[in-house]
Amino acid sequence: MAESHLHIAIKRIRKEKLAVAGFCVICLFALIALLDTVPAPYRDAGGMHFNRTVLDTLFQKPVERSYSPPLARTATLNRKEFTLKSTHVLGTNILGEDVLYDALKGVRTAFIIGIVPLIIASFFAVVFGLLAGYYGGWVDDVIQYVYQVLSSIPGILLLIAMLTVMERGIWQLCIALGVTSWVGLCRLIRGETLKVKNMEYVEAARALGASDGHLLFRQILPNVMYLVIIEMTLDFSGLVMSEAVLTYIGVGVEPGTGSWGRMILSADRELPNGIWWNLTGASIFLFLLVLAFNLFADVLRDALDPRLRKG
Amino acid sequence: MFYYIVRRILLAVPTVLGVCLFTFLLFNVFASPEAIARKQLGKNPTTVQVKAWITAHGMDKPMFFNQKAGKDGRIHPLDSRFWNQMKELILFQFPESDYLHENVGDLIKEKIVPSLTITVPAFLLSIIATLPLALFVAYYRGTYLDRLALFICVILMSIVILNYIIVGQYLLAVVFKYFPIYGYEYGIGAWKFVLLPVILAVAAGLGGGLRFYRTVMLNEVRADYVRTAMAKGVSEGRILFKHVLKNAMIPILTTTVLSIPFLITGSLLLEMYFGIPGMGNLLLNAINNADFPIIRSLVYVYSLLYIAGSIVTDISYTLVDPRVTLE
Amino acid sequence: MERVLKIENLRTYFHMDEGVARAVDGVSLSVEKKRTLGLVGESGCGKSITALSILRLVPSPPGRIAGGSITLAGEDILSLPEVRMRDIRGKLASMIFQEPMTSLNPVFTIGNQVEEAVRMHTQMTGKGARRIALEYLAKVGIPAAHERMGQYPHQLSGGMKQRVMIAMALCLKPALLIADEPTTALDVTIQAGILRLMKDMQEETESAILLITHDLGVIAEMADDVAVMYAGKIVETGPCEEIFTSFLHPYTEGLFQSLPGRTPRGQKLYTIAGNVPSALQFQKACCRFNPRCPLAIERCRVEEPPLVVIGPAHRCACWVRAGEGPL
Repeated sequence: MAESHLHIAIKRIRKEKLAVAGFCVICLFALIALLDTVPAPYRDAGGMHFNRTVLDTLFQKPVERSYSPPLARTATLNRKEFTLKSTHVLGTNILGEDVLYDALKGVRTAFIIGIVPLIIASFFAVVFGLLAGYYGGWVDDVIQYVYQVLSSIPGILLLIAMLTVMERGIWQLCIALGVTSWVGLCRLIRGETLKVKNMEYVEAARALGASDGHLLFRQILPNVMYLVIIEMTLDFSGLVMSEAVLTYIGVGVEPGTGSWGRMILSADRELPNGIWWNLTGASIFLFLLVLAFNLFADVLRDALDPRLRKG
Repeated sequence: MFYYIVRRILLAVPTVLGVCLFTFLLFNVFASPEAIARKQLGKNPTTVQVKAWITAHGMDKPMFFNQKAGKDGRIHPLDSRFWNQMKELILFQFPESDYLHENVGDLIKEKIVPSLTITVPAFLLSIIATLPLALFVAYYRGTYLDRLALFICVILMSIVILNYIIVGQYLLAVVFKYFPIYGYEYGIGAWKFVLLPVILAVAAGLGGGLRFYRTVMLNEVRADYVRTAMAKGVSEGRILFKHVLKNAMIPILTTTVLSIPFLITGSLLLEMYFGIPGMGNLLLNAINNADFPIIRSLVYVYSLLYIAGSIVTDISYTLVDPRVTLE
Repeated sequence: MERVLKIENLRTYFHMDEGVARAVDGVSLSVEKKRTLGLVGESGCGKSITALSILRLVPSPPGRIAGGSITLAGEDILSLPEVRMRDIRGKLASMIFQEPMTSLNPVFTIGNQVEEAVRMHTQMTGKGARRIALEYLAKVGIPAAHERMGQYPHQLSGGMKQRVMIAMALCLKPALLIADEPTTALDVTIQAGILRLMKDMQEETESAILLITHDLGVIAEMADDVAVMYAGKIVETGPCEEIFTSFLHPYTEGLFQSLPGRTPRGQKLYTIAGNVPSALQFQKACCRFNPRCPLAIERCRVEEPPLVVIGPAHRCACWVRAGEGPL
């Protein structure tokens, strides 16, 4: 039964050209992220061991002495002009680093931040939602209490609080984001479980002697999954954008990891010097990924909507 | 109604306690009193200084339950870190900030107004701008105008708020000098400093807001009662403005009313960028300075606001939807 | 008797991604003043779309009235501007729907909704409109109508809601009332009451009624004339008694055979073989019932039978049973 729904969904999505374009862009970004994960270590002449990835081998450029606009040949430092070591398609930032390279390095971070917290959050949401909806009673009361407490604290505060006590790092950020965002989805899953629990096919399975575990995982869970997918598509863009915001506030990923947020942050020092290309590069990458996802996700959501499933 | 509110408040007590407990655990378990003292005392404090600081701030007491006799020879079981902190908060006797050495309560009173001068106008303007636009788009639903509007919304939504703020501030304040870049003035003069942040806040929220309102309206437009109204001969415009709008207000109201208490918390980013000395700023600095008294006071206040917000939202539900009654 | 509605060769098509669905494909019927025409057929045969086409309420992308003519009280419906249609809806012809639960607007009182119909089409102000609304609510049997006017739809039972719909539809004494499965969603015990009400009101308002249903019992109770519809086409028409005693079309026969009362006890209930076809199915000329018809011959698969006269006001479209006769 699950396959035919997927086929119907795919057919519907193919019809919307914008969604297909969005999907292609997402694949392109995913490819970049993948290139940044595959290691290609090397040792240089001096015997030093570098951890590089395939992306690095393709796009890493030498660091210049100062900033330079896109495609410039020369740059100025202390009022002396000097020739650049190589061409920088998007220019170099105030520290002389290649902007395109920085932006590409940020892709992997964006994907991790967009997906991992959701996986963590979905795990909690599904487990607690199913349990609360299925067993009811005190289990339900306890779980409801827990998420009432969590949602009484505004997310961003909880997030910042958690990150203050943990070290900075991309995985810690993912955990914090995941732990602070499961409540909404949990409520939805609990509601849907309550609805599905009383449907005939569950009753029928129970009458045939199915165990609780079987009912939960084989009958109810598949029918609740569409909510998870919808939520994931809704939150991906939000999470990617929040990385930028959190880095700005000071609780983002550790230095050394690619981060569009950090590039945007440096606009503070750069814009007064007329350096606009760093901010622009990061913003364009961020915008394209989020836009592609929003376009694709909208159509994906409509395609998976159970009310339209009969179409 | 009165009894309903009382009941809800009573039910909220365990939640608030849970919130404070959670925050307490979060801060006190993961960061030892020593570490906190060292951070606050700056460069290289001596062990004596650290100990003095810890005692002065009551951090040498046990976490929850005190079994040792106090100075008067009796045992006060609730003389522990958690309950002392709770007592202060419940009685709204805010502690003193570790870093700023001012009473948190005073700080809050000082900072609420600047935050409100941004959030309240932004909130109102958003609604005034978005609602008519949504009605307009709902009227032309299915046409190219509608699809274009939706596409523009998605584009606007895909621009991260940082871009709105940075680019907006740079272009409009620095380059074109239409607005002051930074700063705040108490009193009537605040408006010139607040105008740009408010405009940017509204612009950033426009895409998402319009899309949400449009979805809500179109959901209603598909309802059976709209078909009945059309069969009665009611005009399109009247259907939208009278029949659909009133029904659409139900979900719209829930989301809007729920966000009202948070107007007080201020927008972190806007305050940071425009130098507005508001609550968001307060929180941010507290976090950077590991100023726990402020943080736990603010968490407490915010959770109260959230609970107040959800009670008010539930009540407003009953006012707008005749099918809903307070149970 | 004066003819209120005359539909000739109506074609309403839906343009879907999968192709063109010919939901109504050449339907002709007519109804006279003070008489009731029962339009009967299974779900999906196009009867509701026929009704919506009369008031031009077919959802317009993807649907479209592709041809034919509709004359209502002398007006050529398909050529009228939308403004004039709005005048007609609710006043010259009105419609009641199947689901009373969702057909009334939940946030307005029932009095308000009936008043709205009056105010839309007359010059009356609040007081006058209220008086008429009250009068009709009482006429349709709402007890304590004066108090109940201020109630909301959710406070009424299904039967009561349907009575309100009838009041709304008849308060302006339309020439034609279209009732789309008015009793299907109601309890059997309530159904009789609603049907009786409709008959009584018809006496008073002198309206013609187009009653759409799949229930032969309802037809027997209410209809003066019957039209049997299948897959977008009329297959048999005639006076009610004639159809009930001497039906001819194999589909009509199937419908009657399927009534539980017809099968002796202990025997398996009769069902018409096969399934209701989708409106996308028939692209070439043929008799649409032929895949399920026990009498089908070769001609049925390649040529569409015309409606021929077989008795006083009795017509049937079937190669086997009615042949080529006078049209």
